[in-house]
Amino acid sequence: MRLLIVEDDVETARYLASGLREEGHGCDVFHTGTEGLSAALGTEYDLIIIDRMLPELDGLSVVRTLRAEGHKTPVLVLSALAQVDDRVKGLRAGSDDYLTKPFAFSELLARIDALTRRVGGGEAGETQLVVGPLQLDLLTRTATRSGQEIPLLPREFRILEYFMRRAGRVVTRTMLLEGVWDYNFDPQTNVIDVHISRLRQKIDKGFDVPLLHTVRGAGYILKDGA
Amino acid sequence: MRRAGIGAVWRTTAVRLAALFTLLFSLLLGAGLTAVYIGTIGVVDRQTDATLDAEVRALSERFASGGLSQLVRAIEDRSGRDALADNVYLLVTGSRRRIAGNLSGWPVVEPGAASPEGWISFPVSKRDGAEVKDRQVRALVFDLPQGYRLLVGRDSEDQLEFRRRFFSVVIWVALGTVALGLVSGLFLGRRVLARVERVAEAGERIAAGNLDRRVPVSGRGDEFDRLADAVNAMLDRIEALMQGTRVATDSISHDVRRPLTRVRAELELALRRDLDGEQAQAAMGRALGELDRAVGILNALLNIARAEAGVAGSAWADVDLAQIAGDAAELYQPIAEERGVTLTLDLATPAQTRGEVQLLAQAVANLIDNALKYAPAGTGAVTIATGPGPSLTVSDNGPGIPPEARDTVTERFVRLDAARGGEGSGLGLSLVRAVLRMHGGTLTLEDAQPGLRATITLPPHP
Repeated sequence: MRLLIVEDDVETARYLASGLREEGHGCDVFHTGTEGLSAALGTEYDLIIIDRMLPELDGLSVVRTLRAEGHKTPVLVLSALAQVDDRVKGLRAGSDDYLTKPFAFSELLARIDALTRRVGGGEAGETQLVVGPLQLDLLTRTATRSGQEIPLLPREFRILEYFMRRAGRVVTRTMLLEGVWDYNFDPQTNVIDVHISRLRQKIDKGFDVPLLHTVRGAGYILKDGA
Repeated sequence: MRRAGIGAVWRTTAVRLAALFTLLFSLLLGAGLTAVYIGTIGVVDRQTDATLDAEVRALSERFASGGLSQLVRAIEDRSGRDALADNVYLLVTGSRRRIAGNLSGWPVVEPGAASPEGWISFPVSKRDGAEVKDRQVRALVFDLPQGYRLLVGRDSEDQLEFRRRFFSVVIWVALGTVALGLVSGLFLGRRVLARVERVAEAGERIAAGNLDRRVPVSGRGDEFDRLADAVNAMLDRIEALMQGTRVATDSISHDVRRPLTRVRAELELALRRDLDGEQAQAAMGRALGELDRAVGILNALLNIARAEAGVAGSAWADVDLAQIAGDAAELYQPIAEERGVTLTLDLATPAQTRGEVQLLAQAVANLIDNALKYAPAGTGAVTIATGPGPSLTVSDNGPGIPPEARDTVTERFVRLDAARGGEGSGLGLSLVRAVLRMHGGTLTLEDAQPGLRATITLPPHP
């Protein structure tokens, strides 16, 4: 994928670009808002990663201009500001996701992945999600694995649905908190881990091949073992 | 103390007000005295003039009907021969020769002193026994046909004397008013200056770093006491904030430095030893964990600072505390079960309010997190209930907080490790308090016998 990185801190930009290149992405790096904007207007990128505080033109203004020009390229805003209000402002300006510095690189990768791939089962009228032997019926709110019904609590159902729509991709704890609970803060205790281990008990226990895996230092991934 | 010179006194509001009131009062007094003047001396003057005018008219009619002889007789009837009479008459020929009257000759009037209507004023020497007095006479001169001239006058010395006295009284009263006003203003200004000076002095000392100084309060309960009280209250708050900042800085240095020290040690050791891949991975994993801890503490602090400085913003919405509590409880349910703590919900009472959902949710989550941490494992019981107010109560049956520590526990970093041993940044309750303050609510900590009962109360939905 071709990515545009607009970040004024040269060290952070270098670290971002080298990390993303290792992941096989092509990266263009610019250090000011105006350079970033003209690059974004002139070239077709798959994703734009932009810092909020930039010299000349701040990140949110760049995003607003891009959206006003009709560009639909997904934008991920990086910021040292972590207030709910900042997040809301960032998303309102037209960006697609918001990540607070310092962030885990795995978190960034997961977010990029989530932004650049269409979320599975987005089409209207779809009533079934399938990942390998796992089936989720969105109408009857039931889950089955290899035809065997798995009793799930409503919240567990939502967690599983979130994973199945992102099957094969890393889902971080923060993404779960935002996507399933709608929380933009981090509860101090590892509540998410406990929820996941319970869900795992239900969908993997008694089966040979585990589907829900822990990705060290990043989060979790739901994937068909095959 | 700075010397209160006349310039400084003039600059005080009290003195300027005193001057203004003196001026106003003087103007009012002037208007009143003018009215008195017009009502007394003015009336008498006009009456005198009217009498003289009528007299002249009567005499000129007598001349018209009876000729000169009748006029002379009338004048002599009226004046008699009394040189001391109040009324003065004189009839002269065209060549100013006296024909009749009690005046020896035509008076010398300074040129231009006569009014066009013929009013004049002149002194007359009168013999009163052995004394000769100069008395002022006001008179009307009337030209009769055939060149005769008639002068009818009246002794106006008493009126003039009254007028002189009146004006001298006016001048003394005016001088007295201005002097009294200015002196009292000056006196007042100095007193006011002195009290303001004390406030300013206290302020300067405090600005110089002597934060425990306070502005003296006289106890009279006047405006200056109110000012002093307000300044003192502000100083108390500043001192508390400074104290808080100091404690926070110390705590940040301590709490953030600890994970950073571990990261440093971990990385340094990893560099020095020739670690194999797996060991290096583990070391870096531990280092990352510690870094996350440090960032977590900084983020929590930032959130508290933001909430403390926060005001109602664009992110405010209608929220139901019952729903927030329900969601949060659901998030913590598995943890509670894992620790053997029973989580009981009583959210039947709706608790509508307005606020920032994320911050309120975080505050409620922190309370639940806290309660679960301190409830005894295996036999713990945590109850979450909504109530009127709207309010939300989270109680646990843990060790509780001793009454004397309840106030300090919400301060940043205070962790009652000895009593309630546990892991945490020590910022949980501080955030709750900051969020509530931002929303105009309160956090109350009580004894749940046993355990802690934390109640948050928010303003009702408008």
